[in-house]
Amino acid sequence: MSGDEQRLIAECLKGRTAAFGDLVGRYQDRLFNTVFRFLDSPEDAQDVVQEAFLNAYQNLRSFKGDSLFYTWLYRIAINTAISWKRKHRPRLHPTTVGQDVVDAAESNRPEHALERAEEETRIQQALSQLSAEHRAVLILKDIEGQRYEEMAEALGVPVGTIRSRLHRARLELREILVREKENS
Amino acid sequence: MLSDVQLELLTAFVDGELDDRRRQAVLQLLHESSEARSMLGQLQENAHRLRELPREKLDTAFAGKVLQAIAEKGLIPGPAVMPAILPLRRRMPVWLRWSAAAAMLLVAVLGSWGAYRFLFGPDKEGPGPMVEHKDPPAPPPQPEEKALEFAFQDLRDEAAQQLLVEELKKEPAVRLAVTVRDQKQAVSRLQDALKHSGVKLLVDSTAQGHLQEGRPKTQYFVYAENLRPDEVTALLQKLSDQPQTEANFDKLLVTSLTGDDRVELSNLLGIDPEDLKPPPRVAFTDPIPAQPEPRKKAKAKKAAPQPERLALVLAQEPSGNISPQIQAFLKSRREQRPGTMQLLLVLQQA
Repeated sequence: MSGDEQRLIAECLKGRTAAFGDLVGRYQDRLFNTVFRFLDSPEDAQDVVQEAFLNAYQNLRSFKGDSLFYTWLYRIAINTAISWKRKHRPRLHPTTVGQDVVDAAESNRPEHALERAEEETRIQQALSQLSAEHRAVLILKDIEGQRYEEMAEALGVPVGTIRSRLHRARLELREILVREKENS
Repeated sequence: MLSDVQLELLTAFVDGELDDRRRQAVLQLLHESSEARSMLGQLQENAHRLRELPREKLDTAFAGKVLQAIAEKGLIPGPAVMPAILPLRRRMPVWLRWSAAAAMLLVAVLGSWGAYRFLFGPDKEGPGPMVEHKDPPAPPPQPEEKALEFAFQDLRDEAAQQLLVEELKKEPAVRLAVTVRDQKQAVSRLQDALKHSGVKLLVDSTAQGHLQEGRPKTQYFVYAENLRPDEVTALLQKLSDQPQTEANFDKLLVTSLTGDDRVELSNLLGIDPEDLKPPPRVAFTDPIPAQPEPRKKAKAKKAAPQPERLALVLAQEPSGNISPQIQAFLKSRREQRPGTMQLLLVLQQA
């Protein structure tokens, strides 16, 4: 953990809430992207990330710096997302993924933008078909680029479990995408 | 067709976390097998597709919204509370009922806030599980996610032991995550404690090597079958019997044994995960006398010599070899008897 983070945490604990705002600003996008890919809904992801930050704030005194602050946040966010998924029924309409990614530059090449949007929808839908455990490891590994040890800490399972989950998740994702290709 | 081992090597290759030896094995496989090359290509392409997904972002006002919510709710950084090390895994229904039952009984029997805290934690509104071990945060917000968690010192209490027995009776297979300060000493204590239940603990040669070298990052699996709930509880109680100043066994988290656990364990044992599935649970019938009278024991021996009951210690890092200890353990396996359970105890360095 950086000295700067330690300072911000210490300030939060002294009651300077604005310091927590700095920490939120530092990690909000990474957390949001992960939770978004996990929940497949930007609205839900935003709510979950906010809830995760509130939980982190309430328990900030418990963080002693033995692990990375970000890993600690990750663990809170993923567990909050899992709880959220259990509590809320899946949305009946498809995700808005794809619409969001068409930025100004892409709009100049509409065909390319459409292809990318379709590709994103395909891969996100395949991801959504995996179990929560399998989805989480693929997001952390391939999207977040974490190593086994970091993932084990974030998910609270042994490294061997991460390895075996990734193995099965990769094979399952491949199967889904092959099936989807055959059907299309 | 590619074998499971080959597929596992290929997926690990995509993860980029193979050691040199295995990496060479994959390169050799790719050299020899077009099927392996095709499979690896697909796996890598899918990983690439995931990496290429656009990064979604929140608007810059988000931090302000969080601070506003903190102010509106009047939140403050709360006090450090009980540990909650909850892995991302399915919970068994039996533990859903644990909190209420345990609290009522323990509060009544022990009459102490300390006992109440040890099962519940003081803050029901706390966040999900944390990484902090010494002084971590509140339990997760959803009570149904709670697993059964103990500090070892609390297992000396008779009421806690009784509750643990009652709950274990309902499960055919459990996983105990045990946090210890010294793994080598922990294995030695386990050997002694299991011996009291008539179970001999074998230490796989790879695990022996790791224990000798004192690798703190290695996790050790202790696997046993055909243990009765009262035997498991007695085992844990024996481990909890330690002077406060030299306490080695720290925390215990009890969950059901999941399919993932079985896969991991079967990989280490070199057997099919199906071979680790317990039979359907039947009513507890206490088929094995807890402490047979010496005379009865002698008679039983004359009638039919009981096979030696074995448990096994494995290092989590697979060596790829089936050690003599694993072979002996597999040879000693018997059909699971009614009222007994499979036990996977995971030793984690504190």
